[in-house]
Amino acid sequence: MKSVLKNSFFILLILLAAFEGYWSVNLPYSKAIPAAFVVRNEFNKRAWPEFTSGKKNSNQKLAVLIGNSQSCGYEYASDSSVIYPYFLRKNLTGSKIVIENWSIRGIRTPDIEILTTKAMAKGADIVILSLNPTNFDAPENINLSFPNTDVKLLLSDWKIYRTMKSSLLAKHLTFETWLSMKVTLSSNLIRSRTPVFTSLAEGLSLNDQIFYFGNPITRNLNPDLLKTKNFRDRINHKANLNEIQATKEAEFIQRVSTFMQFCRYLKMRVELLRFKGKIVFVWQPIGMSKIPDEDARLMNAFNHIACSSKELNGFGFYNHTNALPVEVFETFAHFDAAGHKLYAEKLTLLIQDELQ
Amino acid sequence: MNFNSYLFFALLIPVIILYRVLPWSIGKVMLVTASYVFYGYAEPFYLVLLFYSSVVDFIGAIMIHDAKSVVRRKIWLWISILGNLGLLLAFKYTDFIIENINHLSGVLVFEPIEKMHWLLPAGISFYTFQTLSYTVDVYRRQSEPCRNFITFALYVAYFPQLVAGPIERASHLINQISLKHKVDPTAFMKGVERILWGLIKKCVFADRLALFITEVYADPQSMPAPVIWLAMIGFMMQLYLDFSAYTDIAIGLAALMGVQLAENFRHPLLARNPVDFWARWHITLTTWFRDYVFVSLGGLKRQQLAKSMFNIILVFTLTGFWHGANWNFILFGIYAGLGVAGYQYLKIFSPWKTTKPLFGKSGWGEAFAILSHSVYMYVGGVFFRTPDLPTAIHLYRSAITNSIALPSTYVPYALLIGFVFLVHFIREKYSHKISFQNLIQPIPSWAVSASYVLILTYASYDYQVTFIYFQF
Repeated sequence: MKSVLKNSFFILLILLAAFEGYWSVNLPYSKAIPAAFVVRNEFNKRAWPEFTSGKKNSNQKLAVLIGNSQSCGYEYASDSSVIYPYFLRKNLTGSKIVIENWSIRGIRTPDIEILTTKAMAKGADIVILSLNPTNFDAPENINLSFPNTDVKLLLSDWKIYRTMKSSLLAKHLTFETWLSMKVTLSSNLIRSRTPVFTSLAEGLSLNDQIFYFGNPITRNLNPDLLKTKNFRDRINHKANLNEIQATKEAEFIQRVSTFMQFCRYLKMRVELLRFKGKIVFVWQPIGMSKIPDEDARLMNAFNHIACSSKELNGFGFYNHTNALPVEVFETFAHFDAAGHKLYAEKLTLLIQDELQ
Repeated sequence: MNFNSYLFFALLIPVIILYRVLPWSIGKVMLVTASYVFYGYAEPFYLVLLFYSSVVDFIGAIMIHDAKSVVRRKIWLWISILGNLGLLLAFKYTDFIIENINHLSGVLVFEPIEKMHWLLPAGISFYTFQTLSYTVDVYRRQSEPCRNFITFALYVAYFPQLVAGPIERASHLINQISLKHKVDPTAFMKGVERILWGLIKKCVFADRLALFITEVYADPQSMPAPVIWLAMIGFMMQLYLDFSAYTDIAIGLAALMGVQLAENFRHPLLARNPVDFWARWHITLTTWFRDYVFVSLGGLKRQQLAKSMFNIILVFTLTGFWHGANWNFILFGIYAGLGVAGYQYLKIFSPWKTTKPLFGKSGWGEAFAILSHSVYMYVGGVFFRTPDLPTAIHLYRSAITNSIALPSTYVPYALLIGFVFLVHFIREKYSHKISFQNLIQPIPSWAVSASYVLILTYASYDYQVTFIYFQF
């Protein structure tokens, strides 16, 4: 024992173990802060425990909802009782159906792929993908650098990692990816890095955040903006709009291709996991009058192609793009409390129908 | 495999444990295997080239040594030289040569030749030069040939320094890796500290500077002049931090196995003149060119001004070309060569020749020398960073003609650059007065290392950004 205490290396290891085991574990990152039905931690990230919670109850039917900020209730962080997943659960009270809301603000294609795989692995009876075309990234933008969530840490599960080899993310997956996710997941010290950044970054300008904290935050930048000329304008999102507009059309074509490919891979993963449940795409309501005509045209074109795609065979598909009146929209993709209630009614019927 | 990756350290731990527990005959094979795994992880084909280089020089050196006649010795030397340079030429310079021949296709009227687009194996310039030095040393009878292939394969592929040096001489490294070393805990901890310090230089400082520099170099026209100057200074600093970080990690890794690698840097940012700079920067490459090319060309002779100047410029042009198959690296080499030649002319050949420092020994003179040389080096660094001459000229023009405001958003980068410079200045200037080793002696190794780990965890800019010198 004496010789161990004299050995610097062992003291270092003991110290690191102490950091891991005591000091870093107290960071709030590991705590889920329960809202009504959307578990979200104080860093506006979807909480980790929810995604990793154990197996489903065999007496219940599990419906996993995977959506974007609309479903996550981003604007209503302090009150989840006004967003549609809440009403959905309320409407389904008394039935055997349980809703788990796994939605993420600004969800990206890799998030959707990983979460869908996890939902299948968990044995969900129905996976509802409540999305809009902008959630499908151009292939060049699909990588492991998505900042709003810890979802990529699910890749530390060997089964998920292996299954994800049939996905749009596949080319970014190496053994090292799995290992680094495993290390990140296992180490409180490393995991606490992001919340520490987030806490410290509060009140700093984006420029300063980029300097001090680097990529964890710059990863969030829109890749379109990175193509424009002036770096600082890009950071401030004052991009050259003409340039962006010019790339939009090409990008929407890429999004369609991503969507098709996404469906193909999804079928492969359904087979790999021998998934018996249902997967349903629901195109979220969009306030078309809130976006430029050109964008609306592209959005409709995407929906038209997606609706008629043979790649959707085997999945449910519901186009609710125009399902809500324009007055409920606060932004093109976000509706108000009344809109949430209306949308919940539509989804309730849909889920009941599908699970009959 | 990147030193700043999880996988590398995950594999390193069992390698070090096995090194300590296995008998050396097996341990050596294990180290060669580990080195091949680390190197071939990204692209297994690279291993074929590494093995080829090992075999050619292993046989070549023995044949040179055992040859009965001078002619045979020379033949085997040339087989080794051509075997190594041929490898380098084929994989690094073929497309460059084809591209330049194709430029003439319009004038000489011939069909452009298709480029090869071969993969550039990581670190090929480093290990070919290392093995080349071995056969030349054996030829010059400065070194005995290694007759154990496993030991020689380990010398070529030794993972701490394979991809980006230091370029080790056989006499220095083979002797050390022939034996198993007992590593005491103090030396082991020094190795750990050096690795962590290298990671801090890379992940905390160099990668943080990289974003800014990339953006400025991508579009200098839209940047104010002071920002461009800042990026010019920042690039040399980034290059130094990035490369010396690799060297630190390499030296630290070798120290975990009781091996001492050569130092590659000695505060180059505070060089007083071009000669001083190259005595501090990438020392193992500079001395390689000095010993194997410059000396062979005749070196520097006080009676032969023109030949000496030519030799200097040629050697530095080759040094530039060693870095990459691009005209900009050649221009960088010529620029460096002109600087060294000019300085040597002033010091040795000119009517004002002197043995004293050009700007005197006073503090002001020294400061002026450092400043003037820094400006010279930062300006030249542009050739190293830009892809071609027009881009470099474009950047110089923007640095002179653009607006002179320094937006506040760039102030943190200016402070960071100033901070790094200041640290170097203090260490260089006062190291003879205050021994930093003595100063930190009371702090236990575990405390230093633990604070490094915490700095790395919370201040790293990003993980797993490739080292710049991997491309050479």
